[in-house]
This record gives sequence, C-alpha cells and structure tokens, in this order.
Amino acid sequence: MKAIYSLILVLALVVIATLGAGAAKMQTIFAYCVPGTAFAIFVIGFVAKVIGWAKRPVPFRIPTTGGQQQSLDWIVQNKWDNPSTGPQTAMRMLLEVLTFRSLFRNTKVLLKHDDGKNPIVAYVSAKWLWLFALLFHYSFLVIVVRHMRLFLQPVPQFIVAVEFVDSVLQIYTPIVYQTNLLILAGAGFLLARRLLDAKLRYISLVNDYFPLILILSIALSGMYMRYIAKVDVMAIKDVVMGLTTFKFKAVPASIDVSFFVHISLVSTLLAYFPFSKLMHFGGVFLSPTRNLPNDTRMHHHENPWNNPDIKPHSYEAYEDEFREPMFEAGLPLEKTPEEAA
Amino acid sequence: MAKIIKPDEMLRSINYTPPATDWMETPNDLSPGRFAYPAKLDKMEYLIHEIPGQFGNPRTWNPTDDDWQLPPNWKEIVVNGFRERLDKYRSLKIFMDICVRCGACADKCHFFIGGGDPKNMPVLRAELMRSIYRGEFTLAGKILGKLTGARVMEEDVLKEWFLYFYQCTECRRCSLFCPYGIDTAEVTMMARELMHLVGININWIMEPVANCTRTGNHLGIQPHAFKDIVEFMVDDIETITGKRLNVPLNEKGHEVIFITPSGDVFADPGIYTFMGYLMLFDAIGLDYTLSTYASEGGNFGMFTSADTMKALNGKMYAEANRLGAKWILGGECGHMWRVINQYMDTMNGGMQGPQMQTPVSPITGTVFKNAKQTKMVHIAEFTADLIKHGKLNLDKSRNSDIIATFHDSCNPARGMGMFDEPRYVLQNVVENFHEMPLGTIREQTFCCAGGSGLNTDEIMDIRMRGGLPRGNALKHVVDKHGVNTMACVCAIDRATLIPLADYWAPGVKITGLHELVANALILDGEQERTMNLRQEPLPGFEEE
Amino acid sequence: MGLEERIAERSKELAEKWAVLILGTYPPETQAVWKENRERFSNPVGHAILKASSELIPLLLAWNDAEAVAGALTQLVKIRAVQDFAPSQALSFVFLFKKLLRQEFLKELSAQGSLEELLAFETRVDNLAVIAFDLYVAARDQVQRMRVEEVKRAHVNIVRRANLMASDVTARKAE
Repeated sequence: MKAIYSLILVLALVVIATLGAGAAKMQTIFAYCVPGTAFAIFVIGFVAKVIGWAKRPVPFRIPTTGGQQQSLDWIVQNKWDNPSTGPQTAMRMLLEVLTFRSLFRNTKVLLKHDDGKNPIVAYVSAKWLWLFALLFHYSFLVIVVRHMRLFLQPVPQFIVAVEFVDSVLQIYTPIVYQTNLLILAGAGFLLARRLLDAKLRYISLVNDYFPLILILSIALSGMYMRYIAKVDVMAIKDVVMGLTTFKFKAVPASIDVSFFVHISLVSTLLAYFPFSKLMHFGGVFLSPTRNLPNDTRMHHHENPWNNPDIKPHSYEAYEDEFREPMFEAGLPLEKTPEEAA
Repeated sequence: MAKIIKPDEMLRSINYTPPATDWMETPNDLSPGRFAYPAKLDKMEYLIHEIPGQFGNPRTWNPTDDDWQLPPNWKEIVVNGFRERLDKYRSLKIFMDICVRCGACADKCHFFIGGGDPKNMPVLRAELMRSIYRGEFTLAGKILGKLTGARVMEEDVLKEWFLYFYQCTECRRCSLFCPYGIDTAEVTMMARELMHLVGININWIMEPVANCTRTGNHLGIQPHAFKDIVEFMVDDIETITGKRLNVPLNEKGHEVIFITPSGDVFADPGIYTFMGYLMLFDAIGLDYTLSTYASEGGNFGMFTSADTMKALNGKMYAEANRLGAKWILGGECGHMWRVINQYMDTMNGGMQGPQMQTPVSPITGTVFKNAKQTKMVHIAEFTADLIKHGKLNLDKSRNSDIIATFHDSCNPARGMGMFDEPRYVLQNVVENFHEMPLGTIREQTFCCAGGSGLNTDEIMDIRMRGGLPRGNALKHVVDKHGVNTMACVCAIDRATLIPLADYWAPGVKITGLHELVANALILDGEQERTMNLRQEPLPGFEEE
Repeated sequence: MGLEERIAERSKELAEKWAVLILGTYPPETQAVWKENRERFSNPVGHAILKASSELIPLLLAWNDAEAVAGALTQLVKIRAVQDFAPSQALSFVFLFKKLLRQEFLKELSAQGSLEELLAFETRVDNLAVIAFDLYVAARDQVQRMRVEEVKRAHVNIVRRANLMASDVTARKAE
C-alpha cells in the first residue's frame, strides 16, 4: 500500500511534467524555473540541515568499537575498527563511506558437516545488501559525474575518461553505459527487497519507497531520452548552460517532452532530498559512533553543557551518616565521633 | 463415519497466530513477566532530593493498572524533554534523521533472535521514538501523519516505550552493523531519561542507584558491615591458602585505589573473583586500598540518565583525592568500563586532584599511556602486563579440570574494545581454552540479556529468550569440546550467565577471570593447596 | 503401502511442512526472518524448529526410545516455554503435526477404509504431547527455581553476615 502511494505520487509528477511542458507549452517554467528553484532548495536545505547537525554538541565520545583497543604495546590494535587517533579515524570513515564496511560485516554463521560428518562452523556472507547498495550508490555517482558534461564547457578530461570507462563494453547504439543498467539493478534490488521481504515490508514507510521509485523513474526517463527518444543533446546543453550561467534563452522546440519529465523528476528529488532520509549522505560523516576516535582515556573530550552542579554524594555526608558504626568497626575516619560532636 | 475434528479447530479457539496488525496498531501487552517492577516510592523521593532535575512524579504505581497516575502535563514534559535532548545530543538528532530502514540491524538483537517480537528489531525499537520525532517535530510528519511513519505522543506510546526500552540491554550489537552507526543504546538512554521525567522507572535500577549514592554499594550495606564481609573473604582465603592477608579499607597514602562492582563483594560467584583480586595484590605486594565510600564500580546511573551517571561516577575521583591515591585500578565489570572509557573523564575529569598521575605498574614499570587522561586501568590490562613480564608464579595444572571458553561482555567489547588482554590472561592460567563460534564473540558477542539493569528475576522469561543466542553458542562448544567453564569480565554476567547456562547449556560453571588467575597463582608462603577458591577439591585431591 | 511407510518415504517433506506450521505461530514478519535463515547461531529458533521436526518424525515411526523422543523435543519446548506463549500455545506445535497428518493422509486413508492406521499413529502424537507437557513443566519449574536461586546468590555474603550476627546474639545470651 505504501509502495503504491509512492508509485502514484511519482506517476503524478510524470503526468504533470508531460502535460505542463508538452500540452500546456510551459517549457520555460519546466526548463528554468522548476530546476532552478529545486536546486536552490537542495543547496539551502542541505547546508541548513548539515549546519543544524554540526552546531549540535557532541557531549560524549561514543564510538562503537569494532576491534581490539589500543592498550599494551605488545597487543595488536585493530586500527581501522577501533581507531585511537585522527588519521586512524579518518581511515575508518573512508572505509565506511567508500566501501560500506559495516554492511559488509553482515556475515552469517553456519553449521556444516565435514566429510567425516563432524560438525564444523562455516561462514557464509549475507552480502547481497552490501553488494547492491554499493552498485546503486556508485552507479549514481558515476551518472552524476557524467551529467556534469552538460554543465561544463569545455568538458573536462576527467568526465570524458569516466564516460569512456563506463561505456567500455561498446554495446548498442547509442552506446550503453554500464551504470545505467547497474543503477536499475541496484535500485530494483533495493525496491524488491522492501516489497518481497516481509521483515522489511513491515518496517518500510512511504519515505522509503518514494525515493527509490523516484530514482528508478529518473533513470528510466533518462534512458528513454537517450535510447528511444534520442533527444537533441546539444539543445539540452544550451538550456542547461543557460541555467547555470543565468543566460536564459528561449527553449528550443526540438527538445523532446521526455527531457521535461526527466528534469522535473530530478527537481523533485533535489527538493525532497534535504527533508528526507536521503540526508544519510550527509549524516554518515557526522555520526558520533563512527567519526570519533576511541581515546577518551588518553585525551580529554569537552562536553559544552557539562553541568558542574552535578556532584557526587559527598564523603563528608557519608561519614556523617555512618560515623558511629564506622568508628566501632575501626575504619579510618576524617573526624572521630567526639570531634564531630 | 462421524466427522473427525481437525486438531487446528481446537487450537483455533486459543488463537495461536497473533493478529497481523501494523506495529503502531498492535496493543501493548502488560501482563506480569513482561516488565520489571516499578521503583519504590522511598527510593525515588530520596533520589529526587539527591540528584535534582532527573526524576519526576514520585508515587506508588503499577504497570498493570490502566491509570499510570501521570502528571496532567506529562505530554508537554516528555515532548519538551525530547526537544531539549535533540539540541543537546548530535547523536540523537542524527539517529532520528538518517535511518534508511535498510534492515541490516533487524536480526542482530538477541531479544528479537530469541523471542521473535518484531518490536525488538532495533530499527523498530528506534522507530518507537522516531515516529514521535516525526509527529511532533517535523512538518511532513505533522501533515502526512502515519503515511510517513509519524504519530503523536499518547499514553499508549509511553507504555510501549516502557515495555520496549526496558527490553534493550544497551549492548550496541545493532550499532556495529548499521552503515550509519545508529546506536540503539543511545536511543534507549534518551527514552529512559524522558520516562524518568514523568516517573516511569524500574526498581531494579533505581534502588541500586539510590543505595550506591547513599552507602556506596548497590545493596545499601553500611560501611561496618561491608568491612565484616571483606573479612569473611580474608578468612576464606586463609582457609584455602593458609595465608592471612591484610586488606586496607579507607586508608590514606596508598599508591592505588582499587574499585570493583559491589556485586563482587556480596554475590556468588563474584566473591571468588573478589578473593582473586586480593590474592593477586598480595602476590605482587601492591600498595593499594579499598574504599567503602566508593565501593561500587558499576554505575546504574548509566541506565538512568547522563547526570545520574555523572553523580555516581564522581565518587571515584573524589575518593582517590581524599585518600591521596595516584591512580585507580578498576575491577571486572562491563558497563562500569563503558562509563570509564567513554564518559568518566568528560564528565568528571575536572575533579582529578593534583596527586593523580599517569598510571605506572609498580611491578613492571609499564606506563599505561592509554589511561593517561582518566588515570584508571582495567585489571585485565594490569594482569596481562604482569604475566607478560613473568611477574606471576602460575600453576596452570590447578585449573586442569577446567575446559574454558570466554564470554565477551557487551560494554568492554563494543564500548571499549578489550578483547585480547583477558584472553591472554585466561590462556596463561588454564590449560584448555576454546572459543565459541565467530560471529558470537569479540565485537559480535551476544549479550547475557540482563545488561542495562535488566538482570532482575521477575523478567526471567525475557532474559532466557534473550539469552538463547549466547546459550546456543555456548552449547555448541559444550558439545564439541566439553567446555565446562565460561569466564567473563563483568559482574552482571557473573549473575545472569548462571541461569542462562543452567537453562540453555547445563553443566557450565561461570567464573570471573581473576578467580581462575588466583586458582593458578602461587602465593609466597602458602600451604599446599587442595581446594580451589570455591573450596571444591583441586584436581588430584578429589578423594579427601 | 501402509501409512508408516508413506510417512517414512516423505519424512523430509513432512518435516519441512510441520516446521512451516510451527513457524506460523509467530508474527508474520518474524516468520519471514526465521524461515529464510536456518543457521544455528544467527537464528537459533528457526534452526531448533526444523531440527525438532526432522528428528521427531523418524522417532515417531520407530517409537521405541522415549528418551530419544524427549531429547529431540527438549530444545524447542524450552524455547517456547520462555517465549511469550500461554502453555496451550507453547505446546500447540505438537498438535500441528496431527493437523498435517490429516491434511496429507485423511482423505486417502478414508477412501481406502484404513482410517484406523491414522488413529493408531495419532496415538503416538498424543503421547508426544504428554512428553512435551512434562518437559514444559520442567522448564517452567526450572525458571522459577532459577529466580529463587539468583536472589539467594546475590545476597550470599549478606546472609552470611546476618547469620554471624545471630550467632553473636546467642553467644551473648549464653554468657
């Protein structure tokens, strides 16, 4: 049901863009106003959200330690999973952000039997989620980088290189980028999991289905433009360059309506991004269980709101209460009962 | 022929399949055995006075009653408290914002694995709070409501929090697998703080907090009685070794103050571990004192609120200063060490007196650089160093009847990372050691299901189902290697693993690490040992 | 072919089906997790269910070793004894095997006029239920016993001191 709501929402967006730019001839609005506004919302929203997080204090250093701590010299520290210095923590973060290390950890233990029928413990990985999440995110990144060619003149060598590698298989005309297929596979898997796995269906919300369906639709509309509508890329680049340099020109009539669908969906994604779970992209860098070294026995960490008025029940109060029996038991005292009296 | 009634027609009347409702619509089941008893009124009245600002609405109440006697403005108190904590903790704010519900954590919680209640999936446990965050603090949640998983604070939500945030042991296993490091322990801590504001609490946590505040130990034992009890253990050591040890209490001018959980002083089998510490200190001639005022290393404040944790923890430095100790040696305890490793210096570092110095082992000269700020060393680190330098005279054969495995306690594992030190010690004092399967040890260790103040007997069923993953891994090494002893470095473990093992892997004895150390340890001038610290015959002396 | 032979022939399939019925007593989203993962350490409950159903069918057929039957039942009964079930619900899993037997064989046997075979076999399942009942009560007793013992252990040295006080008192009286 939640997935259907999300699908309806995305289809509504497609219809609006098709009708708006196609039938109602509001190309200018859909080419300039919508993406421009969406981009502004994205940037401002993203920055505001990150600032909102960053200005909140981190009162305690609470890394989740995933390996041996730094202790005695002869005990080997697991520096990547239990860092105690800045560079080690940076390494942990890099592995986390670039390779999704925590998801990779998702191993399962299995009891198997060897040939002699003795039980042995074996490990199988439950790495599908990791693999498809990685495919999805990296495809997304490559696709974003490839699209940068529309925003930059001249096109940097780096982008050309990415395009070359991405199309290295040289199949179909126009040449198919592998990432187009991979992102469909990745997003498709992530969506299928949510729909088919009862456990995930139970925990999933509209907030989970909507972005996945939206991204799938963006990918599909993009592929439609390239492989079926075979849109006029140079005309589109003119429009995009106009948008980025604030030199707005009349929208050429040669641009297929699919472009407006695509750009409306992208705009929706941009505008939706800062208010959604997609902010995990920014949040992962600030997560206090990952981005701090496990070093508070070595170095002081300051809590800005540490309340100096919270004090332990004092020894004086304790001795006052129990002085007599302590004295009788021969425990050392600050004041003997006579002195206290 | 008469129609034969199908067995499930009979069973259907008992309704064995729970209704397939969405989690928000599933009603709270507050039948006895599903919750721990609420705090006693006198303890709460004492604490409200002693640690202000943490606790509200003291009263006698019963979770099975419909009316929980909440203050009229309880909703406002909880929502405002929530907002305040969102501003005080980046962790909370981020954990509320960025969960993508990928499901990686769902089958990582021992309570879910053993019990199967979907609300014990970590993601859903956090959603119990996140849904309120959306409903009360985000625009989309306010407008779209349930569609976006949002709801507003209601009495039933509070009851649900009581049920499920007291079914989380703050073990952080889920956090390890989360791609964003979302830590349910942190969420649970916040939820419990909010519940305290309106008087929702459990006695098993609040009574120890009150007792530790007042008397220094969790049972509320007064200092003179505490001294007697330490003397019993000195008597027992004399019986076993023929040696009478001198144990300084509250004495000034010693180099080290030793602090361990008070469970080690009162409870079987922690007492054998405590005897082990005393024997170790005698063997190396350590210049130390114990304190009756700071006789509780464990800190149930951690399961209550940050300020309560701070107030209890402050006693350690206060007493080190008063007695003039240069550094603090800490005994075997789980959450005590998460507090020391991740909170102590931040909270109370400013209390350290000028006499405190970076800990140096007086026996080996090793400088504990990793403790230079807190000035507090874990006894497993300390003993590992002693053994490495050959300073202990050990006779492993006294433990030759023991086939040991090691249980990593959650907090030293995922809130500290102490794995190899206790293993090194253990392997030097026992002859036979076998690890439980990977995936159930070290950073992936399974909880004893009694952590975070849930080690009370009225929820034994919950503990047993939560203990199944650990018990099951233990059973495996029992069957495969004949393991008969599980060592651990946590006082709560020493209490909770006994029924756990009794139920899931019968025949396994639970010991602290230093009980086994002291069994093997040869003291100067001791008599021939014929029994272990439990006064059971040593191998080779069984007939006597 | 008699009923027992047919059960023996299909024992693996029947064990699976029985396990699925038992899993049906848990919430649907839990079933999903426990069904797909049969590993002992990450899914001890799912593993125990399948293990019990696979081991019990041959034992029911052989029906000559009560101890082995109890052994095969123990883990699952112990698990269900501490999961949020009423006693009837906890032990319903045994009767689910009767349900399965009737579902699979009732029509056929009825048509052949050999229903007694099924009734005879079901007697064994009834006996299985009685054995499970013993185990269940033992498990519940154990839980209660552990509660008491835990409280005693927690106070062992306090009690010792209290006793010491008592002996002091009597000593004084004797003077």
